[in-house]
Amino acid sequence: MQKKTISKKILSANEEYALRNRRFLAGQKKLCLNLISSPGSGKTTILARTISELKGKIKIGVIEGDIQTDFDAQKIRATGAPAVQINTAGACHLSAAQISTALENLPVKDLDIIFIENVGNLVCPSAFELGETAKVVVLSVAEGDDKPAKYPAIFAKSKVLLVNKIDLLRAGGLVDFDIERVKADARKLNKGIKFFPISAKTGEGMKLWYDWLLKTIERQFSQK
Amino acid sequence: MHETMIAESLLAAISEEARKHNSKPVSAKISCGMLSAVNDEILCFAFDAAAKGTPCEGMRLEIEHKAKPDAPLLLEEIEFEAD
Repeated sequence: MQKKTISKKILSANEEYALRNRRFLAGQKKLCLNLISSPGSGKTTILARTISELKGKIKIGVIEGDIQTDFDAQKIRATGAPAVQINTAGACHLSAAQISTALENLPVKDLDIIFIENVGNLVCPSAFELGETAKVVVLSVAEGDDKPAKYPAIFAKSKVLLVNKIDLLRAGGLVDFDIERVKADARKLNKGIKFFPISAKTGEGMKLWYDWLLKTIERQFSQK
Repeated sequence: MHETMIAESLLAAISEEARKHNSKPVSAKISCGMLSAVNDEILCFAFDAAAKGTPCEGMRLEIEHKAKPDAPLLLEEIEFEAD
């Protein structure tokens, strides 16, 4: 037997595309946020509300990833924002090459933020860099407060945690969800993670999320 | 099942080394951190499936999980058949 030491990074094909996307977005000075969550946590509703309420202040474009259908792209286009739908036909995550193509089909120059809505999945999307500026993880209260502990990778890698559907907590008795536990568990994995409890349905808490977006864009533009 | 895509990239990397080395690979050592979210069993299964009909068919994978969560996924070592 002969042994050969290699030390080569794997995932290289995806990472090459991710690097290309990152350079392109940095050159254009665009903020690109990769939204990751389970199916049904409210990603599309969060985006639609964000687009509508920030209209006139900033321009947002969306890349939608789903296994099938263009339902989400239609919902985004109904707000007046440009959207590109990617159908992964079974794949459980978006990959960087798909984002490269999607970026060619968005009017990137006219936009301030490009959101990528990843395929609903708390596991696989966290392992594939797309060239985004940052990841944003969404957790809805109906999913349970043990998710950061159970699915640590995505909470460790995200810059922002949006806890959605907090209007259900106000109703009392509908769901058992300890929001402080989520915050503590997420911070254990990721000290600097921004934490915004929101309801994309009622609008509660959304302002702090908008403030963070506007501030982050400003920072992005002031970078050389 | 993101392991499927990792398995394909891994297979491509090992195949390239095997061509350079002009020898059949028998086993490979890889390493990763927690953030790579690699499940050993699924990765081995996906690799077996991808390697079928290639010179890498039947290879053994040894996966080391490093303590550093963000340790990159590395192909560390390949063992080849003796000439």
